[in-house]
Parts: sequence; C-alpha cells; structure tokens
Amino acid sequence: MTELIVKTYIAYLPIAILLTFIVARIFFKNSKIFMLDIFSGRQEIANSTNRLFETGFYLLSLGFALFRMKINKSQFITYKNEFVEGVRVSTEELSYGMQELFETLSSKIGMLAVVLGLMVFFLMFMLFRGKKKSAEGRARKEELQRMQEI
Amino acid sequence: MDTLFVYTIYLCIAGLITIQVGKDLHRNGYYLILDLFDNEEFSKTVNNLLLTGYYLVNIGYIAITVSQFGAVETVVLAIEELSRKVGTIVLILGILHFNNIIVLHVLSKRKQSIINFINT
Repeated sequence: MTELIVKTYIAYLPIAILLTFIVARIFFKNSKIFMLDIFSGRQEIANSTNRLFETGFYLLSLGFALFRMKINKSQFITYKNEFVEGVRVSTEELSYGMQELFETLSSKIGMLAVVLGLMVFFLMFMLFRGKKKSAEGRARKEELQRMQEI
Repeated sequence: MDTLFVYTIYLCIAGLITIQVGKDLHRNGYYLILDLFDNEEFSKTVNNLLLTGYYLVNIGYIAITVSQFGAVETVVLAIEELSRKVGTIVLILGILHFNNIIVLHVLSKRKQSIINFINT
C-alpha cells in the first residue's frame, strides 16, 4: 500500500512542476509587451520587472504545490472492531489501490491548476491596471509640458 | 530512512533554491533600484545590502526549521515532511518577494509625485 502512495508522490511532482513551467512560460512570454508599454519602452527595466514577476510566480506556485503535496491518509483507513474472548481488538486497515491513486492525483492536480488559473487572472488584472495607470501618467506629463510651453 | 540523510537532502534543496533565487533577484532588481535612486554606485550598494539581508534571513530560517522535523522513519513520511518544509520556505520566499516589489513600487510612485509637485 505504501508503495502506491510513494508512486502517487512521484507522479505528482513532475506533473506539478511541468504545469507550472508551461503556464509561466506562456504567460510571461506574452506579458513582456505589456511591461514595455507600462515602462514606456524602457527595455531594461521592463525585462527585469518581467523576470522578477516570473520568479515570484514560480516561487508562489511551486511553494503551493509542495505545501499541498501531503495526502490525507485518514480518509483511506477503515477501522474494524472485533471481540476476541470478550476483549475488544481494533485494527486499522489502509485501503489504497489504483483507483484511490487516480482520485487523489486528479484532485491534487486540479486544485493546483485552479490556483494557477486564479493567479494568472490576478496578474492579468495587475497588468491591465498598470497599463491604464501609465497611460494616465503619460497624459498628465504631456499636459504639464503643454502648460509650460504656454 | 536515516534522519541525517533526510537533513542533508533538505539542506541541499533549500540552499540551492535560496542561492539561485537570490542571484536572479540580485541581477534583475538592480534596474528597479536604479530607477528609484538614479545613482549607480548607491544602487549597487543598496542591492548588495538587500542580498546580504535576504541570505541571512533565509539561511537562518532554514537552520531553525532543521530542528523541527517530524518523524522520518519511512520513505512516505520523509517525502511528506520534506515537501512540507521546502514548500513552506518557497511560499515564504514568494510572499516576501512580492512584498519587496510592492515596496519598491510605492517608493518610486512617491518619488514621482514629489517630482511632479516640484515641477508645478
């Protein structure tokens, strides 16, 4: 039984890491153009901010994946009470087969995917907000310049 | 499993993650600080100081958590304990990292508003 639990962990880790890396690569390849717009074309700071956010994304999602890795084994344990010569003997049995392996694996990976999706939407919200803010700042600067010229 | 073996794996993984992330942040955070201070020498110094503080906090935290390991007799217990501990460290790193970004952002915004005030 315990070998199957170890197999679950061994299957879970690469899937989680691969999922995180794929999501991060897709997201941060496309967010570069937003960063360039936010920092009004300054290549260096846009690239480094993008990289900083990427590192933070990796840290948070891999940290969450590792933190939530432990399987709650109490849901697979069944207790049996037997009376042997008038004395109660309780035995516990861990029933963890292939079916339980797939169920736990899918629930863990689904949870990770949902959290990754929420994080991606939050980062998208931040990018749109930054874009709006930088556009407002640029408009204000232009107005100031026009006033100074007058 | 041997407890010392698990400790060694833990120290290797946690140390490697700390050093790699620290290098990456040190390289990329320089431009953000440079944007804030507009002074190369000064921002290099601040960057190095930040890196030193980061290493101290992290390695100190890793060293503290070594003594708080649970039972690691079987492979399953060892994997669970290792993943929980490394996950906690990486999560704390991520939260601190986003906190740092927010602080830098707020500082640069404040600086921008001061510049705007002087200009008007």
